[in-house]
Amino acid sequence: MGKRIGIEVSIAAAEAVKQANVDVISAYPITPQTHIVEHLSELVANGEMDAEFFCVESEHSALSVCVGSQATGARSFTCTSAQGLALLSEVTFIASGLRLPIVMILANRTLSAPLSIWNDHSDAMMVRDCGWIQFFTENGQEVYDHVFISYRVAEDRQVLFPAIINMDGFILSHVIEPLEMIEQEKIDQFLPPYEPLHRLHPDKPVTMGAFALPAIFAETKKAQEVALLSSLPKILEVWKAFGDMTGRYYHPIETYRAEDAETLLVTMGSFGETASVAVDQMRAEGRSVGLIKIRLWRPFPFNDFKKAVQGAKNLVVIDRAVSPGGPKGPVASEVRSALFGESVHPTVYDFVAGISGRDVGPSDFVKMVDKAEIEIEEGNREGYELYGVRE
Amino acid sequence: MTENLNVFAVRTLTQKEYFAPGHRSCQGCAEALAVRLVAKALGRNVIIANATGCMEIVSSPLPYTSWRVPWFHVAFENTSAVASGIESALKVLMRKGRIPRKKIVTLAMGGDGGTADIGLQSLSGALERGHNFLYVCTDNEAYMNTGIQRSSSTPFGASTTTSPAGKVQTGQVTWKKNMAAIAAAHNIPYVATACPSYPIDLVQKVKKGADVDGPAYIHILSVCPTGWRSAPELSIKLGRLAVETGIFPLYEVERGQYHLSIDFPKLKPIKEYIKLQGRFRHLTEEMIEGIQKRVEKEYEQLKERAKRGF
Amino acid sequence: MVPSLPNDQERGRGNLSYSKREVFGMTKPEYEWTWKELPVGNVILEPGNASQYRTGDWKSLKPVLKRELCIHCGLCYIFCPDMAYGPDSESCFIADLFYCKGCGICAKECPTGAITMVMEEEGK
Repeated sequence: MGKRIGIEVSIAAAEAVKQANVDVISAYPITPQTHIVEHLSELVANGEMDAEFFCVESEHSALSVCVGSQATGARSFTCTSAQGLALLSEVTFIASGLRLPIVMILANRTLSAPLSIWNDHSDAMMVRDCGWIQFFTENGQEVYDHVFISYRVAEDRQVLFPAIINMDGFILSHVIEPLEMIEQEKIDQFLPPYEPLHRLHPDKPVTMGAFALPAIFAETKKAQEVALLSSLPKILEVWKAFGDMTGRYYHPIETYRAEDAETLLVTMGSFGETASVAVDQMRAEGRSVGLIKIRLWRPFPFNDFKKAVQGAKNLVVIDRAVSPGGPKGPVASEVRSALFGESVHPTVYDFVAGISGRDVGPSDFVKMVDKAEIEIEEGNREGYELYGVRE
Repeated sequence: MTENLNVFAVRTLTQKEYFAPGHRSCQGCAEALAVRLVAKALGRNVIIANATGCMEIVSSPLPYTSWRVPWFHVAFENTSAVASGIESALKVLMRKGRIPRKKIVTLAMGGDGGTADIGLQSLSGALERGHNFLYVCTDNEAYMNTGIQRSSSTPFGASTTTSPAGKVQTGQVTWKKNMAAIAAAHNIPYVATACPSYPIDLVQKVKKGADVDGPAYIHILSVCPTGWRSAPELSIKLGRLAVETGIFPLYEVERGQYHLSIDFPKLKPIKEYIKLQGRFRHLTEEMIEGIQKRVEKEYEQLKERAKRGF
Repeated sequence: MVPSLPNDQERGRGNLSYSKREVFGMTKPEYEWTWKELPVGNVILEPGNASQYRTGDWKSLKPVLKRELCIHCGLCYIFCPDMAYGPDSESCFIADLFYCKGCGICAKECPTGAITMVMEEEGK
């Protein structure tokens, strides 16, 4: 059992990066991830971490540096949020196509305009198709744990995809939470040094990043798609190995009091903990309500999701981003598409809540479930509401 | 008779080619020649980060590559950032003993678009951070790969598809951006200009830039017969004329000290250079005179700097 | 267009050691690859395999050398953007027509006028 301490989640994330023996860190400040890079720079400046840490001139360069260093065989890390992610989004697609196992922490923040530093998932939703493995974390312990899990999954020779760890900005990044740190010896055993499949080195010259004519591009895309889907069994394997080491087992879909529930809440990220309090309240009143938490966003665990919601009548999906002019909430639209082929499936009601950091408490979840249950009963099969907006 | 003339300067260069034939550049492409000479100068122990552009496209159509050394293309504007990553990775991996210690040069290459326009930010960042790498800009004076659009490196008056010679505006309306001066303003140890028409000079400068400890920047004029509308066999002659007319002087800036690589007692008139290129054919006498005056003025200023050293 | 290895008549004699065409077995052209055959990340593992591609088909003019005028200076070799020139046994430089694109730089730069560009069908 490791030491259990109270620590700010950003600091814990930085400590995890140190324990993971990352070689190259490129930094650019943007609220709310800045505490991570600040702490990392302190660790390097004090000699507690042996890595090349440097500040770059933009987020686009931050990820480009990681692409260069990862291709040369060094374990690389960077973090960003919202506007920074938007700026480096070009490189995310490239990093995935090049199959470089970079790990990036995304401190979720609203995309401008209007400018806002507070939390929602609009930035994560922007890069759904970038081809990275994407995790959503619910609390500080999960953020800390997933740094090691991500590197081990990403660097596996059968995976070789970059990974994003989504962490709600401010709600997680800036709070002090109780956390169990893992002993270094255990980490070293769990996460061996990075051995690249191909690397840039004069002893074995390779060309990376060639351009592809239409006659061959579709083949490269299929190869990438199949490889990303095939990473799911490896993710499960690594989660199991991590659970065996620490006692904390993670799953693509986590359920909370969901067996035989008539109504299921579906959340991603830090909503999960608050929703579970609401579920307890509602269960105490005798209501048949449970909670589904999506932990693995990409590759989306379709089979696990379908299994988890089997038998439920109502699904109340709580999105934290809007797809304007499109199918309302992105998570609800993916849930609907996951269930479309099933002959029998629950009715989906979509709420978008917590936009730009607005607080969503247990009573809000209760209200949302109330409203959804009533409206679905009345026959509304396409329910959607941007929750809590003052009319 | 011929035995006495056996040793020529050209033969002092290595015979090895690190840039393979079979690349898809246009005939007479002096940029391909520049890249060939840079590769010769650096040899085996180099890792190249290349920007999107002519040289990237002609040398790497999947599944073929012209590169016999490690080579990496990522995107258009981030070559210097990628090179920073490569250089740092080499540093840390050697320090941690994960790869054997060896001198490996990190080379970043980009065209004028990828350097002076979209790539300027990442170049400036990398130069400021002082990474030990060499940046080579192969300047063909426009966005040639996408079909001859103007860049900030296009010379005044040149006609491109986005700065065409029309009835109201006659070609590029701004003066060529002085990238060597911008690089020198970052106080880096070595800056130089070069041209493949002077191959030994180019190779020596590239070697110097690679050897220096810290960032180095070399700006290479690359004649493009397709974009400049010149005959392909004139690519070497045009490069020479660019230097001889003072339009593209060859010089080095070592730790802030300017040295001219070659000085002429009298510059040739720019008309000799301009008349061979279709992209200037619309220039009026007045415009040519204006350009001549400015070229002479800037050349004098350069000689002044070389004389006083800074 | 399927590239093929040159026959001896086309190949310039005495190619420079490092500019010989790489033979890894022929690399398949892009329209023949299946998705399973692609290396991870579409990395190209055969350095310099572009040398299998016959750019010599592009030319309409080809260089012809008058040996008695050659002073072995090597300028044709150093100025060729396509690395087509290599020394032969007599220290003259000969163009490899497999690669030569017929740009004419060599003929223009030769200090003694030993090289002339001729239309491909005529002469030798």
